[in-house]
Amino acid sequence: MQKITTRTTGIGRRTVLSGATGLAAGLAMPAIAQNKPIRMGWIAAVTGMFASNAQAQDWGFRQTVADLNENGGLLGRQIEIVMRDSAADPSKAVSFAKELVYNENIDVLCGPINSGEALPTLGIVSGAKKLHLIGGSVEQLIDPVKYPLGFRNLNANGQWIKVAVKFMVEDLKKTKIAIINDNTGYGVLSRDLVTQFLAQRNMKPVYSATVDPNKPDVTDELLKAKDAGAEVVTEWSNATGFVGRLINARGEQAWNVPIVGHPTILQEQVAKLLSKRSYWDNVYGVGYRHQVVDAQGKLPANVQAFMDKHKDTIGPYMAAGIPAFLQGNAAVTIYAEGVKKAGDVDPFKVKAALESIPVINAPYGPFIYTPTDHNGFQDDGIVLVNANAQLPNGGYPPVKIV
Amino acid sequence: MLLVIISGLALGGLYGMTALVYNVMYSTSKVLSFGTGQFAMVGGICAAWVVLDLHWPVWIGLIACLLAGAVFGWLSELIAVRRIVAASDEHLWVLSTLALATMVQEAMSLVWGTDPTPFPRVFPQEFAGVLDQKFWLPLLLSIAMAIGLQVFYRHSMTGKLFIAMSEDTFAARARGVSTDWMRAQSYILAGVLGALSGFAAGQLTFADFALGTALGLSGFIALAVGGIGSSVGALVGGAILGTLTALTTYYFGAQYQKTIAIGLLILLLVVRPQGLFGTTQVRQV
Repeated sequence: MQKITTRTTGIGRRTVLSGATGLAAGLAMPAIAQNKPIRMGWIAAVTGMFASNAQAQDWGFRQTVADLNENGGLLGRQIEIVMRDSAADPSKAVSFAKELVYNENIDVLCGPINSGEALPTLGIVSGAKKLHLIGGSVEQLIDPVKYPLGFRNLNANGQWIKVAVKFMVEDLKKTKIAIINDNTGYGVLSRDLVTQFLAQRNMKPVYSATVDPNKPDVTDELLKAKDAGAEVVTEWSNATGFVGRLINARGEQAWNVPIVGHPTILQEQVAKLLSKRSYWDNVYGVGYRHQVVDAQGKLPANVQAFMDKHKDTIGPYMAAGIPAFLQGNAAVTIYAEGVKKAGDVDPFKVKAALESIPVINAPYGPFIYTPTDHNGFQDDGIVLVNANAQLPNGGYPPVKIV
Repeated sequence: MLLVIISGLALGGLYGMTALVYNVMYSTSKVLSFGTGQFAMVGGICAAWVVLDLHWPVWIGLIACLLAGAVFGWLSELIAVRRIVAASDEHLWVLSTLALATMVQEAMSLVWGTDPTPFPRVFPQEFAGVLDQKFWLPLLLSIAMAIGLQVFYRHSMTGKLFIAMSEDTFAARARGVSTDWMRAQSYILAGVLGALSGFAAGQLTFADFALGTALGLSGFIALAVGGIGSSVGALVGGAILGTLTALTTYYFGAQYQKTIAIGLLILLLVVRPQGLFGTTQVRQV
């Protein structure tokens, strides 16, 4: 009969060898970790529908990483960008987010940089327990309970609208407000927010229209708003054609009420669609304090410093506007501040650090995160500007009521 | 109110022209091409590019636009219709024309971008309210197009052959008509007319890669309302749809526009399936 011996206790030669190997590896780990680069995942739609804005953000992101690396990196480690182009396709954004967090072993994910792509990636990044800097403005993207490692690196849409409503009521002193928005999810959501902020002031819009952004003529909507007695029109759409038609229709009817709206209204692309450049007068768009120049025509010092440092390559990205490349900068700046404070790249330590920093003064604007609020961007970083007043340096003078 | 009606009629003119383009292709192939709206898109972008980017005169822009339409029309027949219609009685042209339309739209967006670009003024004129060219150009051209097509069908040999093919393609072929070539000609004509509609309405729509899809749907509704095969029906269907959507916005709000337009189509299909000016096909059994 064969005798079977089973070792139940004691330390064998193999165990000793494997233990020694493990110990050696463990001792070596910190040294390797300290030297290996920090990997920043970055998803941006640099081709497709939102390409021009995303390319500027991408440029701002890369220049900021290059600046950090030039100064020794973070915690003595260089930063490596692992970039994917989602081409404005949410399904691509989802698969790239999975690839980056599970296969590419990134330390942080920045992007996707528009809300429609960012929403379906939240659960993936959160499930992988990676820090996530989110570049979309829709309110639902931020929830410190469901997605504790998610932080917004720009303003929320509601902040734009809150400031715009305040401007119409308190600065323009108008009470009869017409809302015209496009029929996308974003447009409808924005209309509801305008209505909600007006209700907080015991006001109701005198007219509200949700319009197909491809409708070739919007004269009928404008006339209806006019007949309803509107003193100001607020538009919420990022479709340049729709916004151009709206401003043209107002100009052609010589109905000189102010139009206040989404930052798209400030784009040169809209101005090109106008029958007359003067139609752009009495048009106000949501902008940022970082775009507003002082009495000498100078931009804020940290914005000017960033632009001066990269003046050789900034040219092609100026058309997208200062906020675009500063948003790319903000994602890197916020993460860098968190890592420096935490002294580590562990996502939970960086999270705790971001929640405890009193204020992060990025060129984009001030960010303050708390354990219960991961929106960060402060309302006073948003201002209204005159559409037809952009200066050659990309800035705007303080708003002037026409 | 007058401006609302004129604006609605201008849009109706654009929809009517699109319906006429459907008719031209349908007469020889019995295909309702999904690429119909894209002819206007291609024509509009081409004209804007030639005039505003290359700084050539408007008339050269018009010629370039018509040439682009002709080439696109001919390619539509060659790629998406000829072999499909010859090989199958099933309505597989739905897929082939949709595929070609999508490819063309994406290609235009990649080359010219996704932002709409301005369209040049055709005649020097300050904005003139209801008399502005952006309103009456599509309106007048739609009427001219319908009259021109009627003359073409009744008084030219090619037009008569189109009619013959619309009634019985096999009989026309049996009498020695080159039906493939006639079909190709009808698609070239459709491409030219579609591009012309994009030129006429460019000041309303801008040069926009997204125009074709929406226009294809509105044009189809105008066609169904007026009756397939009828030029007068196409014009009337377009005018009804355009003014109805404008008045709906004015009286009920813009959010009801599409509901009213699609509702009109369903109502008419129930009450008068052949459309206002269409004829009932009698099938012998």
